[in-house]
Amino acid sequence: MEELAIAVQMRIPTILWGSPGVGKTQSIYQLGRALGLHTEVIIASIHDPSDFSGLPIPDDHQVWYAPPDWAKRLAEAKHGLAFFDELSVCPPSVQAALLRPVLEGVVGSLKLPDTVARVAAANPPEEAAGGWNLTPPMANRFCHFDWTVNSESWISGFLSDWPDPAIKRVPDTVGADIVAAKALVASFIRVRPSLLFNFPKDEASQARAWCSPRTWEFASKLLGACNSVGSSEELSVALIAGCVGNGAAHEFWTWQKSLDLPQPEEVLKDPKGWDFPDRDDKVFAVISSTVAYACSKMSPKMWEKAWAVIERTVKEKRPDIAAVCARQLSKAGKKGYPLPDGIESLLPILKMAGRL
Amino acid sequence: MEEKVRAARIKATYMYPYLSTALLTVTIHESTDVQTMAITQGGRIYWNPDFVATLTMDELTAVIVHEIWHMLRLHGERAPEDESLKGIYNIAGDCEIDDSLDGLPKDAIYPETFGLQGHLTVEEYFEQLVKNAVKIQCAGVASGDCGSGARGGKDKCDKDDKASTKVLTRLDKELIARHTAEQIRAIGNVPENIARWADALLNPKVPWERELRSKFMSCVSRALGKTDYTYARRSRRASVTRAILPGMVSYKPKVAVVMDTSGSMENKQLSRCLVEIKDLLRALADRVTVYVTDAAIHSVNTVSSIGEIKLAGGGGTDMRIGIQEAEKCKPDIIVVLSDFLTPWPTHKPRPEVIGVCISGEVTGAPGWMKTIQINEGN
Repeated sequence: MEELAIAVQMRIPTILWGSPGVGKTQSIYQLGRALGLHTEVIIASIHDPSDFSGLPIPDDHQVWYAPPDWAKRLAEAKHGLAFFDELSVCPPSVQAALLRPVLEGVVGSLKLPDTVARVAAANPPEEAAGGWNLTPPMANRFCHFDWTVNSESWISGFLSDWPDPAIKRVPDTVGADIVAAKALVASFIRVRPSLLFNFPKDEASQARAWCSPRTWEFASKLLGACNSVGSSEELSVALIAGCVGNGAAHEFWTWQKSLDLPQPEEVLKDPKGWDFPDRDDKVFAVISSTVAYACSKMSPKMWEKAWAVIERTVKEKRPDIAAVCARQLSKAGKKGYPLPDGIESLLPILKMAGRL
Repeated sequence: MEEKVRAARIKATYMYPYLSTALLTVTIHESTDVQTMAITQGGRIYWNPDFVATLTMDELTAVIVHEIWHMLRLHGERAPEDESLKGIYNIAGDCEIDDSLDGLPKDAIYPETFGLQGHLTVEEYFEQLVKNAVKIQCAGVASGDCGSGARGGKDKCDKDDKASTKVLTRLDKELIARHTAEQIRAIGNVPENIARWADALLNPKVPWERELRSKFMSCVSRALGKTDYTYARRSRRASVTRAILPGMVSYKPKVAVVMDTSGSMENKQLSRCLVEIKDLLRALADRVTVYVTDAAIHSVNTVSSIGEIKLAGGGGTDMRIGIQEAEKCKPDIIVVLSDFLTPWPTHKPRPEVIGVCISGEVTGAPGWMKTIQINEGN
């Protein structure tokens, strides 16, 4: 629900994948109420293509495309939410006709205001016999979420008669955060250009989230919004994954986390002074990459500095990490290098581990 | 005693360098709340001093690595919500891990402990254990309780998780698992089970059922260029409005199934595959023609349900004959169910052809055919 709330507020077209009966429509109404949006539910599978492209009406030597009533209501309400249900059961021709309303907000001759959010829902094709996959161009214009039932949240909603969910509002200042997020995404793509466009080979994955310039733009907008409402890391990654796919999202996140870590050169320059991370996975990442760097450029001076880093690690109460890295370092030592001081404290545990 | 656990952890990094990050990220704590050793969802390992005292260094190392795998495989998150099933899930997880882990204490849980075949996934073990109504009566390491990190839910130790600032979130664990998988891929030379885990994590595989449906539907939609809305025929709705509405023309695809019944085909997988196809056809085509073929055509049946066919054969394999025969009736789609130990036509037949590889490898299949591999074990 939280991720959907952000995507809707950012007006990124969103698609929910879930089995029938998991409460997608219910949640959409709830969200619409909480955000003060006029909500229209359109069951796409019972409509003709003409309902979405407008009904052609001949009128004095010209034809105009009359929009249906729900589109008019949304246009009048200005702040609205259009929900297109059962997308995967529509034949391709209806899907094609839906492209414009869902993605551009155009229904017949009527253009919905940009303030109208668009959300779609579909059953995974393996669940609906005779269901159609989303065509790749359609899939790539959505942020995808899997919608599952969570017993805990169902119980609490069920007992309290589905109260409006507490939703974090994206502030007006989101623009600055989006600019920052864009810069971050751009520098990631500079490092991993192959992830800018990554069309999946198998047809089932083509119907889901995959990397393209468009979806990276979606992702950066959503990341900006997450940062400005201060949402959790999980939520940010889920939203990014919804746009560009799981693998790319995780890779992006690992990369942006590593940006905060000190570089080996810095650490070796000032073994005592650099900012020591608080988490053990970060400590290990920094110390082991520093030791690997030192080993690749071994010299008596480097040897000394690297041991100073190990000593610091012991002092910071990470003797285990120090011990693991010390072994790696000692293997790179050459004859005549002095045995460093300050590692006596590591000897007993190294002995116990059976290797020295 | 804590020295011993820490030393074992260091030893584990020597033995399994790719696990270093995971091993050094978890924190270790003494506790008598656990009987042996357990890991919480927040990535904290608790150990009982009496238990640790009974273990050799090698055994202790293996037990720590065992707990780490519960975390990397996200067993805590994947466990069923149902309280009464958590114990069995824990055992299923143990089977999945211990399968490829050496040096565990002798009362550890292996698939063979329950008469199960090895190298399955935790979900498969779980399904089988539930089916066999396994009683959880094991002792020692095999107490079937490796903590919330292995079975989900809340444990006594989880209250410490909350108090601590150093807990791992699901995302943290996923990132560590990814990093580990990348290391494994770089090293190579690991037990097959573990290599498969790393591969599945980095290149998630689409289940073959989904792939079959996708391929089938995309062929159908091509064949069904003919089902569409048309202004050539007016919609019945038009009678109530001034608007010009299109009517619909529909067309049902003609599907031919060429079924390989040569001696090398495995029956179990063939029937699973038939079930899938039956489902698809029920939704889309009224009738389907089935060509039962090995090195010659045994029977041609036009049926409304695949279940009506009698399977005969058992000789050599030549799918060209079946495909050729099927083409004569001008179907829109030909589905070939085969083990692919067959020669293929040199030219693309007019209909779309989907080749479903029931067992063995998709090798030597021509480029014009859409192929699907049904893997063993899934």
